[in-house]
Amino acid sequence: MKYYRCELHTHTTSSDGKMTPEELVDRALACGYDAIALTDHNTTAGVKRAVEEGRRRGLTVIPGIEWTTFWGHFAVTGGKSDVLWRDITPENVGEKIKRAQTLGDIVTIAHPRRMGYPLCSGCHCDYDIESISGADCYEVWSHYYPNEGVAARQQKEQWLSLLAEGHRLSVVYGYDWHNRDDVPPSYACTYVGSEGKDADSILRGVKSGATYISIGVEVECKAVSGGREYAIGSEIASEETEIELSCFRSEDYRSDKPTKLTRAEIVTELGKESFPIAFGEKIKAKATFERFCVVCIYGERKREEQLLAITGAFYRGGNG
Amino acid sequence: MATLFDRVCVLTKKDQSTHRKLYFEVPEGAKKLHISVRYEPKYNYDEEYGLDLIERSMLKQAGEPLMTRGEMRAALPLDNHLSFSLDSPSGAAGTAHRGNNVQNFTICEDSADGGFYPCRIEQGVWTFVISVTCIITDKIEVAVKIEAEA
Repeated sequence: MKYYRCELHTHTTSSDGKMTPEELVDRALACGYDAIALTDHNTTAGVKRAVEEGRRRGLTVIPGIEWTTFWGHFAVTGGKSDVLWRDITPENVGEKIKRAQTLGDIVTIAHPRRMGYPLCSGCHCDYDIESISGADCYEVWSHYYPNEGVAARQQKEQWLSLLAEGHRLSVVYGYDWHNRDDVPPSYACTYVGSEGKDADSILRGVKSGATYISIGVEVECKAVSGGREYAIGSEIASEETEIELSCFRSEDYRSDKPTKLTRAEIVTELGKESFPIAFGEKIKAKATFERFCVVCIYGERKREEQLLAITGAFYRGGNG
Repeated sequence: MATLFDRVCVLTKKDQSTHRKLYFEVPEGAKKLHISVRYEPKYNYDEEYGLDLIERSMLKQAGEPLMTRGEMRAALPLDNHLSFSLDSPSGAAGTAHRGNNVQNFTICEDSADGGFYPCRIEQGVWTFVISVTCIITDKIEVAVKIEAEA
């Protein structure tokens, strides 16, 4: 399995984006992405052009849409769903998510704690969280300056709380890319573990939970338990689990690169524990958990310690 | 060019988060639809009202300050936001979710703009839907004109 650099939340002139589908593909290639998903607001009108341009230029473009409802947004990727956004209500949102998943799409809760009305109506998730917890992914980070501010903190807390309750939600970042951004402002990237770079393989990787989000750091992370190795997103049956972790600088990251790493933090429903780590160093740490375990990487950036990467969860369960 | 619909629709704050459906009949032989929409006002320039609404909404949504006073001020003036959808007799023909208050669309079998899908201009009853994403003025007047070209 290889981890691909992906951006799963983008817009074009088919909704309120500033780039045509062709310009989006061009910028995505310049930024070093392996794959993007086009998720225009409530329309797939730009998908065909983006997919064709991606095919011509060597970029995987995943068909998608952003359900931009009055009570919350969902990035829906795969291009198979027949759900009409206007039909989604607080009463039926769980059924609509299930319908999209049944048809083969992946549903991501988008920027749930961002400011909504009156600045960006619907951007804040007003749905009962339990009713949407059957979604596949959670945008823990979003838009510019994704690891800073109250919304980022609240999203991380809510995602961890959902994992602690037993829900399984892949961690993703959403650039929510609307502008050309020749020099991207502070942003992050979703890395997806996949057997291939094509759209179906990337989506399978996202669905399996093999993701991490990062600002300028590439992460190699696996769990070792009972003599076997497990990728991020795996179920682990044995209670004796060791996390193996190495981090490297991302050559594709373009703004305010991290200068050094400070620590790795293993977070479970039982608590958290930190270990020192440096770029290129391999660390091993025991993880004790009954529900989930994720790894957070901290480092120095813009002259302060910042959270630079979050892995998807390892889950307790199954026979593996 | 035949005018199929030409009306001003008035929305108030009670319409927040609702869909207003407007119906129009497309005659036999139509090949292309031209839709013009203009809504006024776009902005609410009342600074005190804007800051107060942002602050109250922010505390309700986040339970703590998401923005500084300076960031709140930079977000002014607040603006109304409407989305527009089109349903043909066969089903959904797309949505225009865009910020501007003056929008013009052309839809036909070979092409369409602004978030709509190319589709055959079928004879029958079509629906133009105004979705009230955000209303921050007492009312919005939405002028909708739909014309058909044979």
